[in-house]
Amino acid sequence: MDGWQWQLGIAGGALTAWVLGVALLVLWLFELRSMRGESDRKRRATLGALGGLGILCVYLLSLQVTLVRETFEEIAGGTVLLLDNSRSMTLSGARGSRADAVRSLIAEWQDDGRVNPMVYSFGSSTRGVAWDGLAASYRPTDDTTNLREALDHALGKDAGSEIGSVVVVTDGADSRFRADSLALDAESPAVHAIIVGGDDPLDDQAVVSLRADATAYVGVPAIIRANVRAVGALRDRELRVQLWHESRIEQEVVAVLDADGRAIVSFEVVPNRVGRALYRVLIPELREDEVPANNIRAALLRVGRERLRALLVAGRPSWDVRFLRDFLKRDGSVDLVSFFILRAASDLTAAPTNELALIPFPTDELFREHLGSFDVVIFQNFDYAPYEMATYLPRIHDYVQRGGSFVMIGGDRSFAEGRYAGTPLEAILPVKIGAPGALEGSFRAEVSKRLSRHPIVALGPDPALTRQAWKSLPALRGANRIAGVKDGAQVLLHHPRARLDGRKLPILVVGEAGRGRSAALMVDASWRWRFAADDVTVGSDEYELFWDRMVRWLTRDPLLEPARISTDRERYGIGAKIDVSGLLRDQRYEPMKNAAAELSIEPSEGDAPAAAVETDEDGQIRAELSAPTESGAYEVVASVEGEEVAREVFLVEEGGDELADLEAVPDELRAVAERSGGRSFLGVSDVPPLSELASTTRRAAGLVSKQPLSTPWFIFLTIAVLGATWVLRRRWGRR
Amino acid sequence: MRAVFGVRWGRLFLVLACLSVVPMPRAMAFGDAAGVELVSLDLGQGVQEARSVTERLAWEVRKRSSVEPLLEPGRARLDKASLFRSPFLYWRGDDEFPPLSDEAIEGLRKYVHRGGFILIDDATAGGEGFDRAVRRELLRAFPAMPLKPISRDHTIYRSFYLLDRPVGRVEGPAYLEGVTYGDRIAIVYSRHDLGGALQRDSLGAWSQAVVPGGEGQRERAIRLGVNLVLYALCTDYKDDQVHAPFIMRRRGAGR
Repeated sequence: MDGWQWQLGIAGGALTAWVLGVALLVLWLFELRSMRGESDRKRRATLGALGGLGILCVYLLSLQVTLVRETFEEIAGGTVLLLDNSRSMTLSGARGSRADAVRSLIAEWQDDGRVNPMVYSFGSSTRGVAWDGLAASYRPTDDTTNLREALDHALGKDAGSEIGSVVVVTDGADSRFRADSLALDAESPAVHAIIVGGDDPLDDQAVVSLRADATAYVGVPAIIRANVRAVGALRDRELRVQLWHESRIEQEVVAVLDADGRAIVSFEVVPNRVGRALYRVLIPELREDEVPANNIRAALLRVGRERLRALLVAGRPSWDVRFLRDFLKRDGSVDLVSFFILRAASDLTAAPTNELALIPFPTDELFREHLGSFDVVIFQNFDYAPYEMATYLPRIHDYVQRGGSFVMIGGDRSFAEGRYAGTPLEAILPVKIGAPGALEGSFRAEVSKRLSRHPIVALGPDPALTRQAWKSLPALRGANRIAGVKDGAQVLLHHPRARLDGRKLPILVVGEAGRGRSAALMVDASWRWRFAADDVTVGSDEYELFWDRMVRWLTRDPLLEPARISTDRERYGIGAKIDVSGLLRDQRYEPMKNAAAELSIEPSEGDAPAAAVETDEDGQIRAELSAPTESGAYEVVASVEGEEVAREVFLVEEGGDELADLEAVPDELRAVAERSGGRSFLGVSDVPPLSELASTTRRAAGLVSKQPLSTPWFIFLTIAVLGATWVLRRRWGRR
Repeated sequence: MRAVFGVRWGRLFLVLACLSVVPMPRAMAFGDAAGVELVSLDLGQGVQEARSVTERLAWEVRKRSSVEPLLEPGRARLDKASLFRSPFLYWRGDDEFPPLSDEAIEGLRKYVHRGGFILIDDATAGGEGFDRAVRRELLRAFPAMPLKPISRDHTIYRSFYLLDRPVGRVEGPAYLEGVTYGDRIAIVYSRHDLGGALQRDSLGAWSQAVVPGGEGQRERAIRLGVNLVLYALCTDYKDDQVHAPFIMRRRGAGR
């Protein structure tokens, strides 16, 4: 009676059945009562029993009892083969390579030839592959395993056709996978799980993951946390973890593992110089370790200064100096060292030195000892000659050429008036200085049309609003005249009327100098943007935005660079797929539309670029590269017309994320198989031919019903009982 | 001929000699925006006297330091946009004045908020009228920022000269008072008649006697004036680490 359910066919259902049952019971009781006059007890019992039986038979007939059952039919369905393509399948245990075992299994199935499955390879994504030649072409390379996505793909509509069974071949090394995350129901195809290496667990110690701040600061402790793990026979062995920097070991600790064989180890490091610092966390290799590739992981720290260091040197106090110093001083991201000339040789202080709060200009300290520690040097209306600084100018020149940055702000002691023409500082400035000459009068600086997207002057969200913002700022007064603008320099602001060589007189010019950057601002009244009466035109926000962007652009804040590229992850396994995306804009910050760009990897393994791509209408690029075949730190470099425009760093590790955590989930896969009516196998040795796993699928075929009491025999029995009762009653003298 | 030649060259030499004693501008003109203008507050009375003080203060600052103040500074009203042509405002008074208009109070607030510095100088040197009116108006403009004594170790006392205490035409209290806005003192209030010690008459003689310290006290008053202008221009620059060891050493040597 498995699967059968009974129903009543009588009109009115259960209520009618109850009423009728009670009525017939009362009828039977009346009949028994009518037989009280019968003296023969045997006759009385026989008539009572036959009467009761007859009434029961009538009752059952009138109920029309029906048995109902849902039926299914088995139909032939397709077979989906899900093949794990992650690098953990390349590992070898005591019984050999997992990949070899899979190749042999596929070869056997292909020899059998009775089933032609749809094959999907899964790893970081799930994609179709050809069945023909699969045994030879199977080369696992993916850097991640995503069982859930693969099974969803096979079980869902994406498969495109009805399938009878899913055969998943994997090592099960996806610790995130849970059986109950799958939507399995009665109509789901059977899932057969073949857990390669399930009968041959690995003995392994591994650095599963590293966590470190992407940015660290010189002299400030940074923490690198390593998640380590031991499995198999190595779980009971001592697990030593070392921290290496460059080619030397810095720290070593012994990890205390929890019940799952896991531990977190923390290392404190203090970077001592700006740049990129590569740290490696390493577990010394034991002879029994079957996966030594996951014993080492690397962390790349971008080491900067906690704050930008700025040196502001002013030829004398002025409002322009006061407001710029106040702004830089208030900015928590700037560590400001300022030095103002408060007294010139000709000034008469009328006081001995010990009554003055003046100190000697520490030129040697600033420009010889500490120059390299500054991110930006600002000369604000400062003339070098009276302070015997000629010998330091070449140092400032070299500092900028090596990657520093420099700003000269105008005034009556700047540019030509400061006698900088022909000095090493002119060589790094974006302008030609020429002969002394100043422009007087009031004017509102205008932003250059072609460069209104440049971050230093982009005060509005678009060029029109930027131009409007500049027009509304308070007027400036006076400007230094220059002799010209150097090739490659960018004039961001110009005078509205005054001209230089037929073009409007530059007010703000920026440019590159070697690996550094420089700016020339030919006015000394930008403080006017901060201090004005009119609520509408006062530009206090604009003043701060302008100087903030100026400092950040000069010091190459990545967010202000015209072109940027990024990778989808920071670390990859050997040969793994790298998704690169980015935004390419030219030096005018205009998107490079439909430009041919080349992406290459440095240090390179060959001369050819890694990829050639074309930007879209918005200057966006997207490309897929392959990670190098040796571990280390690399950079993706984007170039347009042979000129580098952006770069991004990434790591290649022999182990990577895929090999880091090899904990398999056989129980979860077994649960999936059981829930779906499939089978599971630990190892490949007992796996049957694919045709045996390629089961049909069940489909609902409707309901079947039967009425067990509505048979001629039962009706005959009822009539016979009722007839016998009537005959006996007549014979024994009753009605 | 020799005599003529000699007279001619002699006259030329004389002209050149005369020119050599005329003070030459130390810097070329670069518009007036760059110049530091010590503007006097115009409240309708006593503004000429205030301007004579700012002229003398500008001259002293120019002579003693590298700052290049305009030697003929102007005046400004609190309710006019011209107030914002310079972040330095000198407010001198010797008598009680009526309450400022709401526009003037708003101008005062805006001026300080946007970075202005105000030096208030009580010329009465102990009188109550001006003092009462100043305190009343400052309380109206900055109810949450009351005048407080400025401590002796504040940067104001070492922004250029090393000073122990404030003095003016009179010795006055041993402290200055100030309104702190953010991390700077935006308003300094002196009850020492600082301007009185600086004023000269048309012939260049000191206008008023300085008591009780005489010329030594006058010099210290001038130094305080210079320090206040330098503080307005440099704020806490002298608190920077680079200056600390030098100043500590000199303070130590002076004691």
